[in-house]
Amino acid sequence: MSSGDDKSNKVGCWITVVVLLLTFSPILVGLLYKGMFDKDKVNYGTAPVFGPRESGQLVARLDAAAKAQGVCYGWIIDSDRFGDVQKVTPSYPGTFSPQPNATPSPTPTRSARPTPTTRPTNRPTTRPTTRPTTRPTTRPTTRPTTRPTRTASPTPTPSGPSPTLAAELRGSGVEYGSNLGVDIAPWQRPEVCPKWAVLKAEYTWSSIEEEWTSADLDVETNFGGDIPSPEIRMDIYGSDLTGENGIARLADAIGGLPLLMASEGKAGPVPDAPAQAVPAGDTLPGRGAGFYIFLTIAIGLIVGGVAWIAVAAVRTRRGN
Amino acid sequence: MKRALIGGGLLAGLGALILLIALFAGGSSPKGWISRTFPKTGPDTYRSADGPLRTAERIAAKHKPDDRVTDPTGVYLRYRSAIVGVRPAGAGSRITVDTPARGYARYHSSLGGRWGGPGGRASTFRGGGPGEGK
Repeated sequence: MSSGDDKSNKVGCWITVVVLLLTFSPILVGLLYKGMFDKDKVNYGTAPVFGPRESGQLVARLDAAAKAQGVCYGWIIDSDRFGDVQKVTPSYPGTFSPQPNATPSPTPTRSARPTPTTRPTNRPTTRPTTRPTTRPTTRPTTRPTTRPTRTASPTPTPSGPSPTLAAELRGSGVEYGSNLGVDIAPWQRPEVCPKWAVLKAEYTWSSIEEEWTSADLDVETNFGGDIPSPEIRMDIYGSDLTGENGIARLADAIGGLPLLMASEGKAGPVPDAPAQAVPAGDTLPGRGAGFYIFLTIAIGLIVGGVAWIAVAAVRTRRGN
Repeated sequence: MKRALIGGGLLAGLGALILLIALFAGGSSPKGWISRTFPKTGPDTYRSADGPLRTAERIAAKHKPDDRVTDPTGVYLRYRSAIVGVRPAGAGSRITVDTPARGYARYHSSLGGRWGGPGGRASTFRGGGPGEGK
């Protein structure tokens, strides 16, 4: 082997070292930026599913639909965690503020399904403590291992929640809310919410892996029967809820409840939201740091490879 | 020289591969498929006989979106070069296909705070709970 070859190989090694540095240093910087090495990490055992901003946004969006459709919407998330989940004080967008004690919501402008005629005109302000007999009393009190296949069975009169649903609110690791606010279930304000629909999300939590391993959706209403297989109708499945952006998918499932009720013919359509001017500087994010990291790596590799060949070629020519 | 050719060629080839993936990852635009599948009712606007949930599901099954938002006003699908909005219209739905900037401005009341924000930094519903960071 000639001395020219040795030198070109040394140069090649140095180029490789530089390329490796170029490759891994942005990744390390990215990990540091994301707080990978921070000591104060989020405690996933007690962190609320929705933070203040997220829960405030959900309440605001459901409130607009509830006013338009005359149906209150809520959510119950059984995150299957046994620790005390931190309480959230919602942060509402703009000037919005929920009105949990407001007058009853307007009647929907169009309803594909007729309103029950047996409904009393003067609804009592307090809900009776004994449950109506329209719902089966043998509802399971423990979570089934396999999802039961239910069919939609219209309930003739508005009623309260099933015992399981009502008991859910007292469980640990359960978060709930509605268009009336966080920690308010629609049936707790019957004077405001004669009709309600609630999406229930049941997660299975692995305390070892500190993440959800499975999830299941269910929709219960007090006026039109339960909605079977909401995950199929909303195209949001358990794997979406436990995967990347699972929180966003759960928010989609809750936010899509008014659309689901409309598509099932149980509520009128949601009118168009008023056009909103885009605030200055509010834009879609660009390609993101990841794109530029990969772009830098790619260019570094190409330049390094070409430089290696060029240096070797020059040295070989000089040696000759 | 031979080693340099092999080593340098491998490095450059790997770089070119990463460059291609970075530039062209992110899925294809559904605009062509939507225009062939649904009747046109206006510029970049189409009609579907199905409701928004079902229509969005059909589009997402054909062209997987990078992200999606469902709220009471409709379903919004985000692609690298388009934002597809599917909103209720009578018994069916109205589909719009916009450029990302135009779609974000048109549906800002639904998408603001989810996909964008001041300086392009979003987004809410990206974590806080145990589903984050996987």
